[in-house]
Amino acid sequence: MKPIRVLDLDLDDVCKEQYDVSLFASGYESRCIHVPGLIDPSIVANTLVFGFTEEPKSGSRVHNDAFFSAKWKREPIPLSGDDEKPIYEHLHKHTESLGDPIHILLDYSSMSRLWYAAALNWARFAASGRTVVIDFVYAMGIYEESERPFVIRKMVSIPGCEGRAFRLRESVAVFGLGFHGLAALCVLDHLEADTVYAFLAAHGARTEYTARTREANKDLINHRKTKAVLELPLVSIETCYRQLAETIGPHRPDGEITLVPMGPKPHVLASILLAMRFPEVACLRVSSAPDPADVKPSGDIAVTRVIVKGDS
Amino acid sequence: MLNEPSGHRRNLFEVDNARNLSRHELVETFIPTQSFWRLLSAKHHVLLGARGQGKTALAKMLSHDHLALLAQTRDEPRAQSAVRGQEFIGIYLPTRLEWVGGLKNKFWLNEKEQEELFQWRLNIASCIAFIPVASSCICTYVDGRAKQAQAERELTKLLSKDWVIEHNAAFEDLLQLRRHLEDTDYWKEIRIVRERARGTPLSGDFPVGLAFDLELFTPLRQGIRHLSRLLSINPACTWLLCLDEAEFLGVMHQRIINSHMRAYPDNLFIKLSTMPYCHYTLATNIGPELVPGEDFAYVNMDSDRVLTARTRGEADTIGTRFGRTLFRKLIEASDPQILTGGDQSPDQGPPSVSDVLGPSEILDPWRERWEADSPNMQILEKYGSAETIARAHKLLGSPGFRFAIGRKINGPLLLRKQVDELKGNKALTAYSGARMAIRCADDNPRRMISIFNALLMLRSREQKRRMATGRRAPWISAEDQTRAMRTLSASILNHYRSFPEVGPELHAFICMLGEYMRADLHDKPLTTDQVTSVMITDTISERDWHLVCVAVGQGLLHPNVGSGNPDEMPWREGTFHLAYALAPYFFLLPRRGKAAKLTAIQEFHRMSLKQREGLWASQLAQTSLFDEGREP
Repeated sequence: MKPIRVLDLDLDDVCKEQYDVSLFASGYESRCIHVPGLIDPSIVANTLVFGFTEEPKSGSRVHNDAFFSAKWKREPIPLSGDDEKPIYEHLHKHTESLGDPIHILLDYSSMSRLWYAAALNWARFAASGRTVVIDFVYAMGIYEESERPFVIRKMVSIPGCEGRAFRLRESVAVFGLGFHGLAALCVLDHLEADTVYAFLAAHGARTEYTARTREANKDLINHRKTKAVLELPLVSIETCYRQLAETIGPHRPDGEITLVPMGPKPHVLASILLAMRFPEVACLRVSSAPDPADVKPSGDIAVTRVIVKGDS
Repeated sequence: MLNEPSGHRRNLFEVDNARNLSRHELVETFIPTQSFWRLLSAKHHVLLGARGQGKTALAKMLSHDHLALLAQTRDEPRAQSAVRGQEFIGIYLPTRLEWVGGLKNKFWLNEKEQEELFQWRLNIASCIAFIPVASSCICTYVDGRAKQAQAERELTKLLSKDWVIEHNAAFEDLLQLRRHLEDTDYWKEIRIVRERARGTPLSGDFPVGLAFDLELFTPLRQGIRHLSRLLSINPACTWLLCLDEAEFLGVMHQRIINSHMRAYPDNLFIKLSTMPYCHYTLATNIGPELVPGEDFAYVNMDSDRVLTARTRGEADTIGTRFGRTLFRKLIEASDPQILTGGDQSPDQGPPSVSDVLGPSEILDPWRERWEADSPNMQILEKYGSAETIARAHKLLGSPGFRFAIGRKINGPLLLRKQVDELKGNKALTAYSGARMAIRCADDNPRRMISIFNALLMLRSREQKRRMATGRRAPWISAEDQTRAMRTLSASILNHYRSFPEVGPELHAFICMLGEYMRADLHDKPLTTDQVTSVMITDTISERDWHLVCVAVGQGLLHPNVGSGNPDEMPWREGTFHLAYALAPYFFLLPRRGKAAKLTAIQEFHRMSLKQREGLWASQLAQTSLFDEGREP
């Protein structure tokens, strides 16, 4: 397995770069256009905007589509949050004639995790041996309290993150905590791991989010199987990646480790990267029915550079 | 062997799932039930059991390494005969969420490709599961370390030849071979994602696990054949493949396994464990459907007669005795530290569940004293219906009083009084005592262990407090026990709010049933029958029936199965009682009572408070027309 390098950057670094391809998402959240609004289109050679086919008229969707059309001169390519094939096809088409390395900008603030995992899988397996540098940009959001329960729709591995699933040894579950504590408990009930770790965002978009996450997940945090609860920064995936790797270290290579990121997307990205790095680590995607609540940008941005040397 | 103990004893009350027990821990704490011995037979079985009922324990215990240890360390003649006579050799293979999650995420594969992938992965998984069983057989049936090592090397060579055909592989031992197979499974996944990312099928120069493209279980049969020849295993030996957690599989996956059950009546038998209503199909890929009773048999753990029956002369059901035994075994197998600081002296031996939790004021019969002016009679006169009071006075002092009135109404009366008087700082004590703790576990080992653990943690805190104050008390206070039981009960129900697909509806459905039963016990004059069950008919909607099925699978409802055919699950009609685990939350008595129709409960749910009062009054008027107190 080839190593994946993970580095923290600033938005200023992004603005000084030149990208071969950029990937944006248009959905019902108003933060979809926050990052694309801060970036000059001239730094990107080819822009791809994917528009969710789910809830196509909800929230700020119409406004977001109009923004991409006006500023980036692109109409969203319709794509379900449960599909990713067009991402492979478009990346292939736009990079076929390029040299080494390939530079990609990806705003995953409002993106399906299947889509940004696909960008990584493309870099791992379909970039014809070239080095792929992906700058992941995330606009932190303001989440209002939702009365709507998180009803689990699916619990499946993210493609390329299946791990080695043979329960003949110790099993470890690592939960990334969000605001839906009962859903996390429900997943734990299904996984029935021997040992549990949990992690949550230490400094989210708002300072009270840490306490809110702790309160929502107090049953899991106080669960007798939970050995440690880590507070990890939201702005530094490099730190999250390293600390999560250290946490699971004692259980590798013989343990079966399942990451269940249910919190903010930078922590999801860190989990996916870890599962792609270590064969014995799986990353589960726990999805619910769409909840078209608006998420506004808080103004804070996290940028992460991932460097992958793909298979030839 | 994997998961072997390091000499350190854990607190086994902290481990409520057999999956997470080492071989020694499981064997030491295992209580063989009738269902277990039924599975030890040359027949395909589908084992049905609600969540936590002990399916994994049974499936794991059938595997040779566990059964051999049971035969060696416990006085179990049937296990000894199965192992020594090489009558049965079991292989344990869980098809759990993470494994199935790697099948269900390939949404882009067509049905044929999905079937081929499932078959491939089940083939390799069964071979990986075979390896520890082969090690166990070599340890059991070959004498001396040197000969064992030689046999292992020989077997590794034979298996490698059949299972690793892409390249010349030389493995030193079975562990190396197993690691290679695990890597092969991983590389297969990577290959599929790679093809997806590239958009083109890979050429034949990247073969992965070609040996497992064969028909289902053919590689496993090759392994069995090699091992049998090498160790001269009894030719009449029956091989059992225990596929655990089949509820996570889909219809297509189960159809493929069904096809195998239909097509192969040879010496490899499937023991498929799943939740009730989660054997999703009887269809096969080879024409006719499976016929229960002919091609395979269901074993319903939830109606295990070993648990529900009562031996003559015993006050406890066998289920209650199971609970007491489980407690003792967990204490004996656990770190002795969990009992230190207690009231028992070292030479007294470990305490029983009754020593720790004391008697139940509601369920134990010793408080049932009835005289004309006794406290019990005074409570009856306060809360009972006019008919019940009149009947009680008529029968008082007669031999039939206890059977017709006292035994039935004593518990409900005490509970009703306590709840009625619950105000301010006054604490409830009804859900306390050993018998109550065991009853509220519904004969479900996982629930039982969770309850014991919660109460033992209380005991530990109580002991520290007592040591600090110098005060001594025989057991944990009834108030604390009740508080803990109510918290657990609420927590069981709450977890289902996010349950996949039906969470909020399931939660609301169970609350609707529980609220009706609570109102029946606490809001109207008491009779000798309380509602703790729901009756459904074939007019039930698809949605409600689905909720009933999920609730049964999760152990929130239990079907009242007939004694004539206890393995048959009711289909769209029947009577189901609410799990006793939910009794503390809804202030119910954990006892089998009469049933109300689902339609009546739904109608009640839609009524205003005033309409409900009117309903109770009309029901009481109807009751008085009949001879109350007869068995339902």
